[in-house]
Amino acid sequence: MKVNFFSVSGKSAADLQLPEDMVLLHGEELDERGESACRSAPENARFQLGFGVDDMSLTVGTRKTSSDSAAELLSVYDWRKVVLEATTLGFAELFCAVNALLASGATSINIIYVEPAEYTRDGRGADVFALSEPTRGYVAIPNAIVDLASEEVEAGVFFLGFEPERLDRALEEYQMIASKYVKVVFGIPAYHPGWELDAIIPHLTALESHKLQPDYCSANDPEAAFECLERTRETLGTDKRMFVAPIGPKPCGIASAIFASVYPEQVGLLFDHPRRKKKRSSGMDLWHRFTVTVDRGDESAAATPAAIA
Amino acid sequence: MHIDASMLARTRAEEHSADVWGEFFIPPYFDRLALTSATRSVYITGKRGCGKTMLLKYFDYHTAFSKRRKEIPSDAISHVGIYWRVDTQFCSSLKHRGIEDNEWSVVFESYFGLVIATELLHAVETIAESAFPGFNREDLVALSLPSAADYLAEAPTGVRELTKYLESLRRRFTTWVSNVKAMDCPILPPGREFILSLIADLQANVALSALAVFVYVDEVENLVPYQRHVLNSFLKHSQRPLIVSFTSKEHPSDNDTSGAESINATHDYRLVDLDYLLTLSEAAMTFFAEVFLGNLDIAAGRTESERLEVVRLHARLAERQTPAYQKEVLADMRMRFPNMADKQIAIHALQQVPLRKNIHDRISKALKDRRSSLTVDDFLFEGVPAEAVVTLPSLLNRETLHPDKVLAELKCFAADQKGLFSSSWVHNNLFGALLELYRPFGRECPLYSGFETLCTMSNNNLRNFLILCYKTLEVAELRDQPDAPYSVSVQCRAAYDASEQLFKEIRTFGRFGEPLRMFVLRLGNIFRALQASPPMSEPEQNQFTINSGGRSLNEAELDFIAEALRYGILVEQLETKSKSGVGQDIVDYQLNPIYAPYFQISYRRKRKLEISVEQFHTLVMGNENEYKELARGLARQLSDADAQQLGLQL
Repeated sequence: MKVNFFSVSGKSAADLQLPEDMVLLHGEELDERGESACRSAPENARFQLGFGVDDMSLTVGTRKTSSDSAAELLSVYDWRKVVLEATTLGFAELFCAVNALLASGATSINIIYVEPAEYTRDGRGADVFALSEPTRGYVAIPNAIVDLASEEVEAGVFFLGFEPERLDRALEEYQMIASKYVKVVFGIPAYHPGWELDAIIPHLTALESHKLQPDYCSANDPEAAFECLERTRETLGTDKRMFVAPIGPKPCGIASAIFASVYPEQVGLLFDHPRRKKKRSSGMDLWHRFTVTVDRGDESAAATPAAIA
Repeated sequence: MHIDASMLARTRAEEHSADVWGEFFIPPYFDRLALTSATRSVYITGKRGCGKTMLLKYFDYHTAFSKRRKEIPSDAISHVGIYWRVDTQFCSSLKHRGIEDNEWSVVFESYFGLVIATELLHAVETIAESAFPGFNREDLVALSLPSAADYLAEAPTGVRELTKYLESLRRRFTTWVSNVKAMDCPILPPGREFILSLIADLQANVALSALAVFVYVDEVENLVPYQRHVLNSFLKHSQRPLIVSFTSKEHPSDNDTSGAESINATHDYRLVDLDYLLTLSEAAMTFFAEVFLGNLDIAAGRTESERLEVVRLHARLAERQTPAYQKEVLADMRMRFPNMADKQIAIHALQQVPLRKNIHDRISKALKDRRSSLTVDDFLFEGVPAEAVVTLPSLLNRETLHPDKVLAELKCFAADQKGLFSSSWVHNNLFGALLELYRPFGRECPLYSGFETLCTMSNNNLRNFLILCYKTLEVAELRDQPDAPYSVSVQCRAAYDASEQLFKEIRTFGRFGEPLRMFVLRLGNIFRALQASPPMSEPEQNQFTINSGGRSLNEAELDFIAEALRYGILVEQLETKSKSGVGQDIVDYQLNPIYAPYFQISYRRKRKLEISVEQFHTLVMGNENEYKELARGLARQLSDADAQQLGLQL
């Protein structure tokens, strides 16, 4: 299995060289960058995806099915034209789409992402950020389900952002994690100098009281995040698995979605499905287009669960 | 003395390995548990931090047949414990996805069977490696389990081979769960029959003939309903050699089984409430002290100390219940965590310029507001008792008390310790007045010190107690005063730090984590504002009761209260005296006293705030403006400046 990442960055959609006949799969437009990102495709070429946390369903436009059947649901789109709008897509939708496209035989996936100029804080000058609403917590995502109670899961990776309660809640509710080798990854360098401290400082208590191994990768580089995950995967024993909890920067989420899709027998996802707040960020900074190519070579059999039933 | 601080940071059972032999301290209620001799299921309940998981790890086979255990009695085989903490996010994926609940129900039962069967085989391997008499590695190799092949055609008969086979099956099962539409479900063994068959095969060995398996399923309350019903069926039909028991933060609420029956406490299980048993033992303080002192020995490398020997051995439990032993342990803790009497605190406070000035200014303002001709100096005469002076600002602000009368009483009290100051005013107001005196000056009110205070603030909860103690050691180390006795100021700072840490943890408390944190913040701020009101007519309010309103509590509100009780944020109390004397106060809710230092309010259970259903709704679900309006209304005697400082100004 060979996965390559190519990226183009710029100050607007025009800099990303997006295909003119693209089909944009996007999520909810919550802030300025989300609205702008969605406008990069004409209205009749945009389709909204939604993951139903209560019943693990996936909705595309008005069509709804179990997310187990995401590949069927998305098979109406030509994967060569599909662009995933990761600024607005939640992580669960992003994974479902990536996994479904790869299951449909896609060998490359285009994803766009727009960095914010600023994230919204919880009051002027506050230390904490107002990014998510309270949620019902960690819920499995079909096609990347993992049983943490099993000893076969021997390692885990958390990508961390600005909300320490998300890690705390995972450690509280899934106390069996304490017996595994767990890496916590901070986005360094961050989107902007200084933002890395906003991620590290609130997590210090958890780092002190749990056996967690800190690691770093660039916040806006999915390839670096993917390599970081690969380093953990390489340490796994025979027949062992790992989990990935992408509760940090979206580019790390992109890497996690690809990673869980290409290694379905070794990787599961742990995700808490936050309801992202409206106006969670302001302004726009860099625009990115990530093109991920997957060359299965002779190993395609290893990824059989992704095949359409 | 060198202390390994990382050892002390482990206040959660999951931070210990599965084998806790030598790390578990026998609790005072141990004999009442009677788990090893049980003939039916138990339902063990206990709040977060009560020591429930550590207890179950002690009964789990990893510990019972620990390699560290030099001698293991032959009857240990009649209680082979398997502690299973379910992964709720995995279990909740066994629902929906185009498969009906009744089909999932069969799958879940098989999953349970597969997990327990694998654990049972691991247990047998552990037993063979342990000092258990009559069953060693050769016996393990010689064991044959022919029944497995009756359920799974290719199942091998050797223990190790079968373990590997079942582990592989579990992997295939997990992969199927992840991809239910893309793969076929592997053939799984039935739950109960499969486990019972394996047990019967194992019992064919003489040394294992009395084998009985006790499964303790933790966090059972977080399973989806049909899964509860499957496990309730296991519980209902439990008898030796397979008994399934549950542990939970809360008392049983879903008693249905997957059949037509239901389970009940009289016939099907014995309810064991660990918090209640600890209270009943009347030895909570001693036990908490033993755990702290024992852990201190472990962290200092004294792993074979006499103190540890005593608390680790079941045989020495009776010795620990003698008054002489308990007195010695408690005296040790009182020496390490000294307190300061209220009157001493008052004297100490008046010796500090900022606090003395604060009292002076507040008395002066009160006299001015009351248009009294008296001056501050009239009250602060030579020889005036400090404990009375501290209460003066609030007394002089009370409309019902004339300043002349207060002064006369003060003189009477100073002269011969008589009058209203002696009979009630100091007793009723000093504690609250001290809290309020220190409040604007940071986080180190001396009232949050002393061993007894630590016990009260921890509210019968071992983990909270240990966090308070360990924070004290941490602060003492930072201030370069590492050895006991720990100064009052060190203890008070530590109490604030511990309280702050536990307050922040509320966010992680399940589905209502953030709303619960917001609720505690609002409630704590209201109690603090009530304490800050100049007359402080109701000192030390830290409870509330809901006893009025135009409607009953709705389902969402009742759910919220249940969740707050479940996580120990609120403590249900028998009714204290109602101020109004009307209405039916069925229950009082005290804000867990562990949060008192964070809000600089009282940890003692004294007075309550009476609120309506509508006011409660605002506290829990109201927006920020609605909450501030409520808080301002409740603390209406606050000046605008104080309200602004306390964040209650709209």
